Amino acid sequence: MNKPLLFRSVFLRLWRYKLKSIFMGLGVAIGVLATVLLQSVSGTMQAKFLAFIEHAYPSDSIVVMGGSGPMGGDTGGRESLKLADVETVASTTGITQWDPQVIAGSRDVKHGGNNLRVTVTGYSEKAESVRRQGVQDGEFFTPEDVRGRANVALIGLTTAKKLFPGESPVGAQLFIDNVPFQVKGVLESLGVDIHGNDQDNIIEVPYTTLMDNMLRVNFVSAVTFVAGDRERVEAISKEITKVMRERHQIAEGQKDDFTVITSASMHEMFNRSFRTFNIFVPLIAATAFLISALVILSIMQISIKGRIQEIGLRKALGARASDLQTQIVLEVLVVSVLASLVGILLAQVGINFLAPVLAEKLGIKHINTPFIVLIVAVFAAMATGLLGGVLPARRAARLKPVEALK
Amino acid sequence: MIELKDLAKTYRKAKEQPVKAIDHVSLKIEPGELVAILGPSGSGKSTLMNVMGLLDRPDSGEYLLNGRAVNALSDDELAGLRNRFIGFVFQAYHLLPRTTAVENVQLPLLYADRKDYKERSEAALAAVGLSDRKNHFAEELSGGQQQRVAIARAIVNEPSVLLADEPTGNLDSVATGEIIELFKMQSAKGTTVVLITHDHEVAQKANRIIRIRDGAVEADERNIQSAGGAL
Repeated sequence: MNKPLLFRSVFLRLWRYKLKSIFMGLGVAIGVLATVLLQSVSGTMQAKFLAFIEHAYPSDSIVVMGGSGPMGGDTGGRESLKLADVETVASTTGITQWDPQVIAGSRDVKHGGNNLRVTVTGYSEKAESVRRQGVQDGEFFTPEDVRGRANVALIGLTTAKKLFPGESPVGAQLFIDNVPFQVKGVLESLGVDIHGNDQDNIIEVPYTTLMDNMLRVNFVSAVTFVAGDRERVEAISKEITKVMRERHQIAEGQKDDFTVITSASMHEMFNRSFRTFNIFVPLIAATAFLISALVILSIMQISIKGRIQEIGLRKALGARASDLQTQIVLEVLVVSVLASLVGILLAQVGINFLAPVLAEKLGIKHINTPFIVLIVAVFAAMATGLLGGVLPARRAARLKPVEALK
Repeated sequence: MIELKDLAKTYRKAKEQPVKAIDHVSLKIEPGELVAILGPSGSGKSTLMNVMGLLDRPDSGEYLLNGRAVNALSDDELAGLRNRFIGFVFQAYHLLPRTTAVENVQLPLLYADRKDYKERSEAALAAVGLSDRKNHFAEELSGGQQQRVAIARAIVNEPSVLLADEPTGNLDSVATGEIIELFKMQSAKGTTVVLITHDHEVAQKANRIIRIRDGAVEADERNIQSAGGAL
């Protein structure tokens, strides 16, 4: 076949029968649009979740929480984690880098005439290195602050802006539930978390101050141990479980009244919760493409019925069966590929519209569409075209010229 | 050159008498002849043209196109021969709609793999006097013009045989005259031209008239009336 002439006539035909071409490509375009959009948003959300997990549960750390339910699923035994437990675990495992966490929840905070509800949490001076969040202004707690149950506070960026508009908060005084605290520093910004909550509207105080002076409790909410060596995390977390069960005198067969979380177990949970999603997105995409293939198939069948004379004529003029098949399959392929490009373009437009909403609700700043998704989308479109186009093309190619020209 | 030796084809339909569309026909048509095959409808002349045009296969007998036996060739080989050696002109023109004149003329070249398809198609349109209509869509042309485009399409690959099935059946007398002139020109250039018709007036323009009845040759005569004929 004359290739330049073939491509020219295929494109001209598709252009001159625009409506038919558009109908043929519509399914593919929508399929690609939905797939790329869904995959981009879900991929970006998963990346965001993973980043959160990396931050909250570094791969060399182990988090022990009071209570038996992971992530607050079960509130029973919340008060089970004592400082003595933590110290015993630290000495048995030889871990020196650990930081407890005492959650005080939302509290009334005042400075001058400004009032605010702020999440207050207690940490030790080691939080800076263990949790990898320092101060951008002022300084962190000292060991003396923690030992001395000092009324000092580190405040988040949002809290700083709202309580101290136009002034430097470092060294100033604020009241938490009417108890005076001195601001030592402003924390580095964490942005918005995966639920869309502002992670910068926070106050951190020495955990000792919270436990003994304000909440008057004898337990901590959680503690983060840094194993130092990634390889040892699994072994240490088993050891922690053993030590804790002994200390809490939990009989064999009974449930833990604490929870040990590692980066690996968080990743496992993450994978579990996204598994359904990661199965359904391709499944939905495949269904969309299958329907598109059926649309192409039926439109091609109708189209070829209307082109029987043309097919007979082409055969009379010297077209072999394979030539006709090539031409018809090429028409479908060109439509599919063009439609997939339109779908990708629409997906990008859609993302541009979605981006501000997602940024506001979920803190997702940039939605990435991996190049591989685009490649897969185009190939899926081509496969769809072939699936829908080959059968009618073969049927057309088999027509007898004498019958077709009648 | 076309040579038919004892060619036969019978159509059989369930519960009907078999129809002998070609009943042992032997014929020889030389290069440059302008032949009219004349017969009433149902006489088998269309079947004869389909067999001569390699669109249909006979039940028995031998067909030699340019000296080559074609009975045993595959469908694809026949398609190649049609493209290279045979030009078709149909009563209903069979131009593709929403397609320009020049694109219609280029159709056979799609299957011929020639680099010079533009020059060839324009030359063919010029030969039928339609250079100025080359970018008109088929449906924008008059019947006569459409048939001239169809002739340009038939001659664009410089075939050795031109087969025309009732080419003037849908045309008025002026257009008919123009079309017949074009066929005469082609035959003068050495192309074998076969006109299939039931119109005696058209047949009289040929230099040989073959009368068909019930699938058999009834008469085969040189036409003295056709002035300036090749023979």
